[in-house]
Amino acid sequence: MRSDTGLPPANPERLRLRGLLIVIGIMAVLTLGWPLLNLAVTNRNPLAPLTTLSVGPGRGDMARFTVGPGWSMRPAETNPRLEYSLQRGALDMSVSYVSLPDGAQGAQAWSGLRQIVQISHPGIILGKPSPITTAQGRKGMIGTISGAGLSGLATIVALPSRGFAIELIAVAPRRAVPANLQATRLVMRSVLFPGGSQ
Amino acid sequence: MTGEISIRTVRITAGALCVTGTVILVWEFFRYLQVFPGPVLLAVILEVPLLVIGFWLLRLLRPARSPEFVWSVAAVIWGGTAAAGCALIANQGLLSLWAKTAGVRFAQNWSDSLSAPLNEEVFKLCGVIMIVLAAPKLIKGPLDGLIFGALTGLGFQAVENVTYGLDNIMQQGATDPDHAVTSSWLLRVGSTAIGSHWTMTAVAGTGIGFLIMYSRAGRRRQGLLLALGFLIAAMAMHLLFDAPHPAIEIKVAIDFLIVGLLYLQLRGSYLTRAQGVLDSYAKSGLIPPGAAATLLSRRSRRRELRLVPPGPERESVPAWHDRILESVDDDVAIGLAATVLASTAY
Repeated sequence: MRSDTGLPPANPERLRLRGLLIVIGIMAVLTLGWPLLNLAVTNRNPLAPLTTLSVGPGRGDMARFTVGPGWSMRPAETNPRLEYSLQRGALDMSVSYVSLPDGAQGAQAWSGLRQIVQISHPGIILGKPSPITTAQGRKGMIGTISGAGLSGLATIVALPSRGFAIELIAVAPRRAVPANLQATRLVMRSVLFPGGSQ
Repeated sequence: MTGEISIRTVRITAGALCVTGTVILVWEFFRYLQVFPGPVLLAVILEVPLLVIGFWLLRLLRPARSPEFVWSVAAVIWGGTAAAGCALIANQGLLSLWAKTAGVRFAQNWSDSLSAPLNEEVFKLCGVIMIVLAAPKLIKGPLDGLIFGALTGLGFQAVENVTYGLDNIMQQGATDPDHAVTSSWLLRVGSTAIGSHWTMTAVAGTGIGFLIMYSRAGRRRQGLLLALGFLIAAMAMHLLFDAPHPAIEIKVAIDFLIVGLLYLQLRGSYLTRAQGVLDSYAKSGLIPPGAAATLLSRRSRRRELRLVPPGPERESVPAWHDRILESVDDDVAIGLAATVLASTAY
């Protein structure tokens, strides 16, 4: 049977509800499906001792760092251009490339790192900075972080001539820190800038 | 279930999905609001001009008369809440999967372009479909689908710009959050805005318009295939946009050109058909002979209106214009469906 326009009649209510169910189904499958599938795949890539990794967007704008034994990488939170997410036992460490507009460094960079810690680890406070010297001889800043049953270290090593810095934040439950402290310091001191002159 | 109840069910569900998307976004960025309240506010305020100007321009793209204001707003809201919120979770899942299975070096170059098109284009298109379901007769053909798709994409684009601004605070070491937000905005609005999400969803939305047109003619299967084709085209545009090459200016230009050509084609086709309908109205005496030449132009209608003496008669003219143009749109839609029937008859 056709209507007077020559077009077939429709059943809009049934079609509407079917359409609604299809939309809800598609949205649920995509929103929940990918995260659930993601949970089924391991997020731990063990790294061989003395593995050297590079972080940063380009040849000049990058840094290298080396890990000792016992470290693994979490690929889901890693993007070599911007950040590595590493793990050693119960300790989590992020190694991030940050660009410093207008050559910001010193107190301004440390204050920025304090706010980044507040975002990435709510309830944790970054203390005052102390000087640190990398194996390459470059000066940086290091400070302790604590709160919410966690503690750890944070470091900034900047390359002002290229307008960027590498920030490392290592956090673990208090009991797990001593066992990882030396390994963490070694990674922090291993940061080097292949393209940096000062 | 009566039509009214089923429509209300769709509208309530759409509202609930928008609320869900908003909750996801607020949950995800709540810490930024606590630590950087000023820059977050700045990031939001900076998007207002894009939203207002984009909304105004996109509604003007519809020849003869703009789509209904309330549903235009609804499309933008869907894009900025339900679609953006769900995409945030889905993208995190798929991006992580790429990094875990294909390696972080591959993922840093390709995971965005292999994840975002798949999730985001579908979520945004669901908004156009929801409008079809919640407001029957509003989207009558491909041109309406294009406009509502573009509006949905605009909402998504504005919210995504805010999130990029907040991400940039972290990428600049939080040394100058206001600068980070502003520089991200300059890049996203200044150079990529004309070829971003609104263009992709406009193309996908066109497919929904074709689906309606073909369904009207009883050729739903062909319509579905066509809609799928437009969705895939939108995904391809998005993949190109997120790919590491070529330069962003080229990618923006390509996406803008695609939607521009599609729009000109659909607009020309609509105006030809609508003018034919108006001429037939004039011939049969439904409208005054001179009205057929002026009704399709907003400017001509305003000019005609100024010639009517102030008073009740002038006040009734816009409503009369609306009734005629609504009827024209219905007849254009029937004409399009009849063309489909004629071209697919065997």
